[in-house]
Amino acid sequence: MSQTRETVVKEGIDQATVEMTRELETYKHGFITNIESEKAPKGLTEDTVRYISAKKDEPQWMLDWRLEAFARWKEMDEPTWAHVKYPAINYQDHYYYSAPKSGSKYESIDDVPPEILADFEKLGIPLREAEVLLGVEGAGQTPGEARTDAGVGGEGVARQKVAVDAVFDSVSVATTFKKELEKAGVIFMSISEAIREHPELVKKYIGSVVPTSDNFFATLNTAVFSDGTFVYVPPGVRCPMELSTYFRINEANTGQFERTLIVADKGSYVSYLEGCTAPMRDENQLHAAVVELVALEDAEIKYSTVQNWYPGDKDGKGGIYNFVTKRGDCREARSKISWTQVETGSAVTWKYPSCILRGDNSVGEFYSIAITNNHQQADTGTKMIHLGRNTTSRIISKGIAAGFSDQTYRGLVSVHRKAEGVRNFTQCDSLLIGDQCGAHTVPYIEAKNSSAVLEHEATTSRLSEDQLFYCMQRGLNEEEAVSLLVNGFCKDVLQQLPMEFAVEAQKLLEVSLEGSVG
Amino acid sequence: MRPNHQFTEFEKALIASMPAEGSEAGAILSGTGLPSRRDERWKWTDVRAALREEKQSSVQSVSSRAPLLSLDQPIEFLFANGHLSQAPAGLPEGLTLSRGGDYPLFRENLPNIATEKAEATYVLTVSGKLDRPIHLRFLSEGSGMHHTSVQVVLEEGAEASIVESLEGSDGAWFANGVMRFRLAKGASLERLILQQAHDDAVQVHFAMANLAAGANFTQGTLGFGSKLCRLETQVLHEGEGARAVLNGAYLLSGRRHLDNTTDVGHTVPGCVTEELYKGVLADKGRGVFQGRFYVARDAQKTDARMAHNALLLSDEAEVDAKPELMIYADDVQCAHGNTAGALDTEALFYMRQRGLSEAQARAMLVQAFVVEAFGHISNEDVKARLMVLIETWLEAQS
Amino acid sequence: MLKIDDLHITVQETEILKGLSLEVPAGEVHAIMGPNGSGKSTLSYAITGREDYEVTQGDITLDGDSLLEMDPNERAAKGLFLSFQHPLEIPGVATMSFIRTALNAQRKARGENEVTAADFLRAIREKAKIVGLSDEKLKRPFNVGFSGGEKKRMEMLQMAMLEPRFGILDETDSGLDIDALKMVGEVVNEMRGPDRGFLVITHYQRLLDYVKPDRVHVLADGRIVESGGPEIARELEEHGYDKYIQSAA
Ligand SMILES: Nc1ncnc2c1ncn2[C@@H]1O[C@H](COP(=O)(O)OP(=O)(O)OP(=O)(O)O)[C@@H](O)[C@H]1O
Ligand SMILES: [Mg+2]
Repeated sequence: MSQTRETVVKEGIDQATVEMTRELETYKHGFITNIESEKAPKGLTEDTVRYISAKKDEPQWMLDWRLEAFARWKEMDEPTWAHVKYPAINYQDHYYYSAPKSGSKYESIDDVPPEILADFEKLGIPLREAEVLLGVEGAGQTPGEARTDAGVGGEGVARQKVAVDAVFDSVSVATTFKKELEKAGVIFMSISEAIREHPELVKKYIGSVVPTSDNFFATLNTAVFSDGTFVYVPPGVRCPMELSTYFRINEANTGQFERTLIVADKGSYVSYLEGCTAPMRDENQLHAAVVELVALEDAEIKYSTVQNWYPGDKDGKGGIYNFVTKRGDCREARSKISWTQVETGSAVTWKYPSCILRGDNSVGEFYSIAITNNHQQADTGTKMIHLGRNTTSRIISKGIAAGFSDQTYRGLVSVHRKAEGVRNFTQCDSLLIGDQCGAHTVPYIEAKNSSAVLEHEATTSRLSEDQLFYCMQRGLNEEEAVSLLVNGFCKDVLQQLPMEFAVEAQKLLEVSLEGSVG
Repeated sequence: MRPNHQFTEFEKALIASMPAEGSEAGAILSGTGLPSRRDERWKWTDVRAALREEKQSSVQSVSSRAPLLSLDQPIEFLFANGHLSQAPAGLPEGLTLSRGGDYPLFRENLPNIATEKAEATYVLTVSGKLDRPIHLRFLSEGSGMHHTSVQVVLEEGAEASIVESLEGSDGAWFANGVMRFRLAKGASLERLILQQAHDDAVQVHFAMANLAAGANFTQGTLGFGSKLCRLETQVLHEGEGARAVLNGAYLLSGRRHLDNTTDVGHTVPGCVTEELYKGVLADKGRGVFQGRFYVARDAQKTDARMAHNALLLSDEAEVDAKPELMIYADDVQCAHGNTAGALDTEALFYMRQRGLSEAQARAMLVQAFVVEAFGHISNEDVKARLMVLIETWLEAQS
Repeated sequence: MLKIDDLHITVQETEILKGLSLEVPAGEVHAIMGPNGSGKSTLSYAITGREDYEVTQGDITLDGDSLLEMDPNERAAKGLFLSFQHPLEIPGVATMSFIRTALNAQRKARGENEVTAADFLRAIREKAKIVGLSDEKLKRPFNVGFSGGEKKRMEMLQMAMLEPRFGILDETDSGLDIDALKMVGEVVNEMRGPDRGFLVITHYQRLLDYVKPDRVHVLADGRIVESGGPEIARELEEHGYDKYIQSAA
């Protein structure tokens, strides 16, 4: 990201903050789309796995892989070490596959049911413009790079072009800008398609970062994943636009188990955005995704998430259980993987986007904002595993707990014996708003090489009364003031987000904190 | 619950040695066995793996030796393999020794076992200001196991200082000790733990300190490690305005292991905890630091700060750290910092340009690094003696 | 005394000194001037033996003995002293005990007797007065919390205490007030003598008003591009380095 752009984002945020706080609203993505859908029978057996695989026309190797995972999963116990509490999940009480009835995949955008399109319109991340979505064959075929940031913060905000893969409940419904990406050699499609069209690539990389039996939820995902996104950027290619997947859970009692695999071949670059929403429902819904990133020599992957699953109501009823395994493998020299996340949703979050720094001189980054309010619980953080020489990592985590929520940063920085010249810097700051919430920091630091330089700092505090008073003296109401200060607290992370997301994220911060003061 | 066949010979014998009836520690032990790396709080200090073979109880005598730290007019109690073999003929005014005391069931089971298996639970009660330091010398020898349990009670406004030295000769002994400190209102205790280097011994020395309002608990630790050594201190601030200082240094060479674990609970408002640990690791030394601050909802205005800095002098050394904050109150100042790294090469060059040999420059830098952890010790004489122990260690490295 | 012959220095795979030759005979003071980044500090580190300053070609000798195989402390004991451009802070290390350890280590290496604590104390008090450091400053951990100027004074104090045979002053004058500048002149002039040599690296003429150099060298792009009398310094003050930078490029 260029210097100018960073500045612009910062200014955009501060300016817009005040305005946006005026239109504070509750979870606005909580609408339910009425479309008929086709579901697998409730519950989870080997037959469910076979059903999903058959629905997707999968090759035998894929089915075998799923069945192996299912067999292992049955032997595994749900992890209990995270600092979260929730009633036992009955895995037989969920649907594991749900697809809009009109077909599992649309040839053109015209085939997408209008309800879904309308749905997208209501959303805004980042499909707010139907034009963009319809742009599959339409006007927006000029390279996204050409767009400027000139108008940011002002009236006609110029947008970067973003290619979108939308996953609705279990299946991918639309992928935009496919042609243009093809020209650049970038493969961007649903993982189901990729399994059929690029089996050699998928077979080579899937499960190579998160192995089948990695953990309870990842293993479950391997058995029943229904769709997700596949990206392959060929050697030397700088992906001409931001790629984005938008996940939405719609059906009641439906688990969503998407699988994302991104491979950046030698010397390539890709920036990927992920957004999530779900309707308001009284029951808890299960989400257990797996994301695998592979960066080869000199490649860079930037992965940004705005996670806004339904967090449940203010009494803690309903909401998504978000048990996600995200891991990046800097497999070769000088590769770089950067995770940025803004976590405002879900009733329970269990998520540790990690980097395995295998290649010499590779770089891992984790920038996180987690906001919990009401009765939300989040246990999130990262792992930086330094295996290669001169590998560096940077962790910036900002946690904000309000209401009755409980939040934990959990992180591991590990330096292996042969990893010379490792550097890590970690900064974890927690902010408590109100006296009924909790904020926790649990870092693990393991150093086995004397040349490592590891620094970790953590602080816990509350909003400064002085600053609050100052803002209010200038005319902001309390909520506006809190919002402004929280934005300041999160600035280091917000700056890492692509502009589209930064504005969205900042809006979400406000929505999430609503009702936390006064 | 671990199935019986998975217990080690050591565990089986220990379980068998616990009283059949009414032993809470025994009941827990036969359920879970000894702590191992599967237990979150012991993941880097695997007691179970370090103690596989069956051990007899130690004989109750050891050969005499000069104290590791000579103090000015100490009130010395000598525990020979767990047996209180020497105590001063007459105790100074304001200090009494008795047996008994109440013991809660600790979350950790090893101290529960120590309490049950120790020859007695001794209680030292201090009233008023005690001018002379109490010195508890825990001497170990041979290849058996032994347990000790000592409680130190400071009555309202009492002041005392105590040194616990874990010393003895080399051998594959296992020493398991529990200390309990109870500081009444406004009481003040300066505690120093000194652990001598041993290659084959396994040691667990646990302490729990309960602080009433305005109490002052200051702790310093200097440890050199053993085959496996854990020094754990839990502090509970139970009255407003209590203050705890937990400082320590460890210097590990050979294959020695030392685990400093601290857990501080703030349950009432306005208490202060300051913590600073410094570690130096040479050869295949392995240092573990686990520090936790728990701040309960009501503990507003807590001020708690923790730092751990490790210096790795060898590529085969290892340090593992887990500085943890669990915060439930909003109006608090809590922070922790952790660093690990090698000696500053720029400073080394600067000093060598002035004429110091590499070994001299290193020693001076290491000492400077470590000495910060003893900044709180008021007795200059004691501080100087600790520095001598550190110098001796450093000389042995070059 | 100090002789540098066709010196090539590589730092992290970049060649910084590219065939530098220089000779400072005993009893003389030479000044080196040169633009930022030309390699002046690199030269002083190479002479004093800092790690990572790799000699790929050439030689450095002091009194005919090559220094290249010697450790930094052996070079120090042989009489080399560097006043650092950026002196460090060393927290936790007591100033007095550091200087005394250094002095005794050097004396021991030369087969001389150690100085007694009393003699040392007397000497350091006296010299601290000359360089303008209070007793209180001597009691602090080494350089911790010192101002830039105070750190430079501390360098001069060490030079006065260690009595090197060859002193290198790397921009000791920058950051100093007028009085301190004079003090540096006093310390150097006091030490000047037939058996001592100095290499004074500076950007400004004003130090040379106090420390009169026998010769002035211009260092640009890793080489000595001109040598001459004190007039060169005055010329540079007026015209800058333009002509050398072009000639070097
Ligand atoms: N450790 C190092 N690593 C990389 N480059 C270095 C290192 N030390 C010096 N250099 C480079 O070598 C060149 C010469 O640096 P040096 O410090 O010797 O310059 P100088 O002449 O002393 O400059 P100044 O007048 O600013 O003090 C510079 O380009 C500098 O960036
Ligand atoms: Mg310089």
